[in-house]
Amino acid sequence: MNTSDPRHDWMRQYAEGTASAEITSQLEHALREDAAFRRLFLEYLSVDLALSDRAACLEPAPEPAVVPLRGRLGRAVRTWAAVAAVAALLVVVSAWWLNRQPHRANDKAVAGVLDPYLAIVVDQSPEARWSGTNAPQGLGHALGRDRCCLESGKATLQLDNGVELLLQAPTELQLHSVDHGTLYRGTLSARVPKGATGFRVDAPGLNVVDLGTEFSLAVDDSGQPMVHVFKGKVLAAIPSLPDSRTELAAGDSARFDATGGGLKLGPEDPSLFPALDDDTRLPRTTGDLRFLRRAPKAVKEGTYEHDYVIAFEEQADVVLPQAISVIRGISLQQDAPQPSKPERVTLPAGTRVRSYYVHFDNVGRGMGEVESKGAITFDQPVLGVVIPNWDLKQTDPWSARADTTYETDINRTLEMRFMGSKTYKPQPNISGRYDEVHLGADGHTVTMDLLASWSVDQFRILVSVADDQAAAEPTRADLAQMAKPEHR
Amino acid sequence: MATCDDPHHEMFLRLFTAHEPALRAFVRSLVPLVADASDVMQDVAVVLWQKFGECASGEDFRRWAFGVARFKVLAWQRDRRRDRHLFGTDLTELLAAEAEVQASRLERQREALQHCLDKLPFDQRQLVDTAYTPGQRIDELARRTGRTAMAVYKRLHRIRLALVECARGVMLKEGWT
Repeated sequence: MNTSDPRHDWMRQYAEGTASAEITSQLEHALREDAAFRRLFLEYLSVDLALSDRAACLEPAPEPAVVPLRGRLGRAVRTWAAVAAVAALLVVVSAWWLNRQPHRANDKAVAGVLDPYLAIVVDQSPEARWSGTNAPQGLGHALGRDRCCLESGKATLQLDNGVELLLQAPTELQLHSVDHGTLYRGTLSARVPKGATGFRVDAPGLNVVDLGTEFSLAVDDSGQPMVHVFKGKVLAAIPSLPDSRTELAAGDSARFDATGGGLKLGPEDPSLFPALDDDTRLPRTTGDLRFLRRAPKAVKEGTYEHDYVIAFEEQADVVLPQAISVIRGISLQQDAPQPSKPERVTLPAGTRVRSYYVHFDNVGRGMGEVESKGAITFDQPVLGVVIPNWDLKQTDPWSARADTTYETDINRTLEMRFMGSKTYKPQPNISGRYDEVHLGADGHTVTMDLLASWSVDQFRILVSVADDQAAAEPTRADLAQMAKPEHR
Repeated sequence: MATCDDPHHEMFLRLFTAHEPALRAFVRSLVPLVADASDVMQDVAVVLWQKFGECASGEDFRRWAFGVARFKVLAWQRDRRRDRHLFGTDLTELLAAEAEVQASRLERQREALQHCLDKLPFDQRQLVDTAYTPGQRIDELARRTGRTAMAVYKRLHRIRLALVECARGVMLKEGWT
């Protein structure tokens, strides 16, 4: 279910009785126009009523056990017998529903709804260990507003606004929002992109506000905070001292004494301030997509309890042992009456490729269809994507990582309109919509709009490997020559 | 009027039980406040109970029940329309038709919901039970749990949506479309 649909919020306000006249009017229009939304509306309100009934019946039963009729008993047109009968009837109906037992045993506990996450672990060293309530369980896992501790190793977080945080254990951190966090102890280095300027980190007795920068903040064992600026500027201030605002520029280091109000400018040990990796060859992502800097241990259904799409590199440079068929030039619109078939090409044996894997598994199973959109841009041209499960299986032997456990179930494919055959009708997602994957005109970008509910969405992206990083990138014409069109 | 000794009593109970979720969802969809919706629903139930023997039985119960509900909702709207913006008559008819068509489905949804509620993590189930407790104020609940009222409202909203989807998933497996 598309949780960002504004109509859902109108529906919420209506159900809560807080909808303004304008919202009610918008909702009314939406309900008139869309039969599917009318159905959802009724189902939603039915759930609301069922939860009310459930809570009411969980309360200790009043004496005598009758349904309150809100002071409307005196209406002359009703007889007491009728009212009592209806009251008894409603009690029976409520009890009937509550006493109906589930028809099957729980197959597994499902975390159906979680607080919105703020960040995801995009990299961590093998020895990294986390602790704390709802702390990430490892690479590819997410974290929200709970205070968590990196007990050992290093880890890099990517916040939803693009801010990157490198943590060096032992570090205790709490994110309050994508713009604000508190470092209780340890070391944190931050890279703040332009759009997120103003990112603030608090430490004991110190606030640091980014002014477009890369900086590091460390809190030593005595609780004294230290700041070092790699690039740009930061504003540091001791909250209890109004005149303590200090602007630090690139190369500056400072140690603060929050209790005494002191500030010591000067060089600190550089090893105290780890710098973030600056690998320009890493794919860039946008939207809900997150690129993991190393391969996760597993991409099985249920591994991650968040709604991000994750991608990771499987093989940096592999030679195709045999010719393979890949998809290129997909341009499908959801509402296109007759979507054209995607262009398939054959990559000849001997082609050198870099392979990436994309994985999307929404929170829970069947606890809501979640839509996630994003794009990934590579430094080299995209040769094609491998989508159907049977094609993934063919490429697994040379592309899959030995140290990653993959989803082997047939459900790992996407629900795309062109997936049909003479014997198989393509199945949409629960909402009736299909997944979409597009190759951008630049030849380097893959955009996706994925919906997941009952199964995982997975596919593979194959990217060209340049013989020499300094060599000119192959043009689309080069690629066209290399890949012969194929008809399936 | 039917009585408990009446041979129609059992049939009425069975029919009303089968269609009550859809009737209530329909009434609730057009009456924004739960308390008002309960009042209207009680009016509907009283009329159905009083008139059951003479007006309807068996197969046409659903159509008749929705007709009564539609009438009661329109009457309620007529009395309240001056006070607030309410859905128009045309949408009322559309929702009534939809609820009537979905009656069996909404009944099954209620059964599936029990299964889905069992699958909710404990803290979410607890939140739902607490938030829906009669008389519970959301702002007080928010203060106790260290959240804003809006955060609690939105969390409940996501849980409701998740339960809708879960019930759909359960029903999909059973062949409902």
